[in-house]
Amino acid sequence: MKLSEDILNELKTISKVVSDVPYLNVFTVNADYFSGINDELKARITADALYGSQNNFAVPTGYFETLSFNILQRIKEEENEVFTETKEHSALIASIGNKNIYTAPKHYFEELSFTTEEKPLAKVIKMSSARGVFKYAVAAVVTGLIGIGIINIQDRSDEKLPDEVSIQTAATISSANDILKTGTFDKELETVSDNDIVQYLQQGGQDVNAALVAASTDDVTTLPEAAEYLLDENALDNYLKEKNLN
Amino acid sequence: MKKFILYISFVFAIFNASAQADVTGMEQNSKKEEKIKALYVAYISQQLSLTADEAQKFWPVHAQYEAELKNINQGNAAELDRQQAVLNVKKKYQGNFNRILGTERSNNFYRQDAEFRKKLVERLKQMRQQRQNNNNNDGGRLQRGGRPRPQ
Repeated sequence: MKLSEDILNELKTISKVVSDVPYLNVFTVNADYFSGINDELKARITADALYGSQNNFAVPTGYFETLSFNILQRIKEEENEVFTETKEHSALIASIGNKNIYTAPKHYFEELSFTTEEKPLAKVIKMSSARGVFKYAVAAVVTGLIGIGIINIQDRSDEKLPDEVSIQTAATISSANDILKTGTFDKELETVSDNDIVQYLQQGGQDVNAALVAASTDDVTTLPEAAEYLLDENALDNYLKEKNLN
Repeated sequence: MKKFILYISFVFAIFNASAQADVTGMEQNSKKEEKIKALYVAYISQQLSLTADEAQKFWPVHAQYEAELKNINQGNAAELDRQQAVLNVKKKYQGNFNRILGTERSNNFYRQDAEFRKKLVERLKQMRQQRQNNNNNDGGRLQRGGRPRPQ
């Protein structure tokens, strides 16, 4: 007895709900439960036998005789639906229908070789060796001409090199020595032309007309008056003409 | 293709002929210029009494001096600026000329340089007066019924 109390107390510490369950046999049945069980079992077995004899996979009468017709009917209906839908999207594609468009006329491939037009072949020009040499010769001439042209341009654009200047200076000094040795300065000066003197003086930045006027005005009173320049813009030219300097 | 090559050849032939003509013209101008330069060198050498040793040092420096002046005179600077630049170059080279010739002869060089140009101007004046006189004489003869002198 003490043992059962100890167990109950221990059970209370573990779970109060379980300990509160009354001490009863839960696996009990009614008193007359087993008295009518035979009849009940028999009744159930009879019901199972009854439902078990029924064929659930039976088909209607004449089902297979009309099966092929029904299938074709269904296919036609689906085809009609497809045709209607295609027509809505593109009348052209719908017009083709089920026709095989990848067909060729009878004997098409047999007669193909005879129906193909033969195109005339392009003229074949044979490259003779002489023609090849001529081509290279022409190329060489053209290259040479271009080269000469470039050299000419460079010659004209390049400034004189320092060596060239020193050679020119040496040549000039040599000529000058000859003039000094022979004492022909005045004679050589007389051979220089009017234009050459003008060009030389102008290169030296000299105003030639002004220099001529200055050279011919030992008597300053002969120059035109200031007012004359204002009255006549050709006053200086006229003066030079008068002095035979123009 | 043949036509193209012929066309190219023709163009280059004309170009080369033109270039050759230019070179010939430049050579002729250069020769004329060289003659006056030779006269200039002779004149300056004589006036400054240059020795061979001095000439050997002086003329290369003078060539540089002349080249700088030429550059200035070929430019498009205003007249006063040009004159100032020319003066600057002359002053710049004065030291070099002094070292070669001495101060007095260096100063004399600048004077003789101007004198040579005066000589050229004088010669030019003579030539023009002579030409004018000849023309006047020919004109007078023609007026009197004479025949013009052949040129």
